[in-house]
Amino acid sequence: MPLEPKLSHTAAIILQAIHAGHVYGYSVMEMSGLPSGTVYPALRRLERDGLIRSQWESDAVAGSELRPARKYYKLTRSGNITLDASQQRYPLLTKMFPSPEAEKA
Amino acid sequence: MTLHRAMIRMAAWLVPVTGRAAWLDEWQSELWYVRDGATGFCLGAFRDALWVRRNRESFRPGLFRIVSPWRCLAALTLLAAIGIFFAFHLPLPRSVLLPSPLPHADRLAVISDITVEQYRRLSLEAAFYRTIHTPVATTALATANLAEVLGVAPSEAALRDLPGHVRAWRLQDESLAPGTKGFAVVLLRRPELQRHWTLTLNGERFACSSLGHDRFLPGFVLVGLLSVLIVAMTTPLNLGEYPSSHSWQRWGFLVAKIVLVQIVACCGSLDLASISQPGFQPHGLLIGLILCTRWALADQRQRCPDCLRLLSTPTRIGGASHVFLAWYGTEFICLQGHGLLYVPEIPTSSYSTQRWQSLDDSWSTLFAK
Repeated sequence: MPLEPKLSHTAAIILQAIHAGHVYGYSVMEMSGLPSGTVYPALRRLERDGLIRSQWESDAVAGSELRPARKYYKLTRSGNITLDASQQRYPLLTKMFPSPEAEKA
Repeated sequence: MTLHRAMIRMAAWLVPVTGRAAWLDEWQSELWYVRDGATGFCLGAFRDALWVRRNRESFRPGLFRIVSPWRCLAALTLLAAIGIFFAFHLPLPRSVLLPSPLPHADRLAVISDITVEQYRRLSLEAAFYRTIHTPVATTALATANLAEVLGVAPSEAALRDLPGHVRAWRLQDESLAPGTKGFAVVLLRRPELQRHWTLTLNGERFACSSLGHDRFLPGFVLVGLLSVLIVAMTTPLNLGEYPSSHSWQRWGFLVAKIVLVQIVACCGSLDLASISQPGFQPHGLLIGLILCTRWALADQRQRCPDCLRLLSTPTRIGGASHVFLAWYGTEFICLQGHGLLYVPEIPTSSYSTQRWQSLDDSWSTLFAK
């Protein structure tokens, strides 16, 4: 049975970072300044709660660039809804990690 | 890089076998992209591996992590009831907790392995009994003055403390054959404080055991005070900064928990002592009281002040190198949405103890009800 989302400040930052295009674990770490021991368990919890989903990059793409494949994360529909609620609570989130739409504007 | 790969492989052992390969692939892939701080990055793999282990579907929280306050009190009450039940059914705890049925038990002693000739030479008021072992049970033949020496009519309760594991008694002045060995119950002139000692009478030395019960209450009070002192010296007693609302509820819960764990420690140490060592073991009680009180305080610090449920989802925030510029510690959350608990990793002048942040109803959309 999927669990209901429980969002802490850290989880909100990670959601916003993924929304802003930092779509793999190390990139989220670099942008948020959070340690690996916080980011990776948080990503797993968000995925378990259905707020994000993960997908491995194809080996062909990674192999053509002579690097290992990455595991990419993407917000789900409920993740986007939760992020909207978090952005209203934490207005600074969008300033810390501007979303692609905001950058284009 | 070999060292870092080895660290990740070590961390992988914490991950359940079913997901280990996928977990290892992810971390090894991520490590390839790390430019600096690889050691710190790999240390995080252990936390992640532990998270995966604790959050697997088959994982069950430990016995001492009971989320609901009522279940916590129910579990402690059950443990205390089990401890009390055994305390009043095992010989040693019962003799320690209950007063002796003998009116002057402190002055009564038993001499074991004494001959009839030695018994007759005793200058003290004494009675003699010898045991007879049969396949069914052990019985005893005692001199008729046994009741007079004990100071009470022979009954199961009065005779229970006499050595020999006797199931049935017969009082009669029988003709004792010379050389018959048995037990002598003697009435001393003064109370004897020691449990076992050597009695010298008419130049003969006898090994004596007192029939007096250990005085439990003074020892318990002394050990209890000592445990409070040790707990105060070894763990902070400050429970944190909380709002004043519901404080009676928190304090009531803490007091109930401490009372119950003290009963568990007290009866548990007596029950264990009756199995492992004869006699009251104050050091066992002391260790039990310290561990139980520390657990009660630690458990209290991890509970929501509103609903008293255990807080969840610990998240580390900040880093030790940024302690002067930002807050550094662990954040817990109440799954009922009552608030957040901030626990500083290193106490500072501005953040000396854990602090509770209440959340009002406007946050309810983020929490499941």
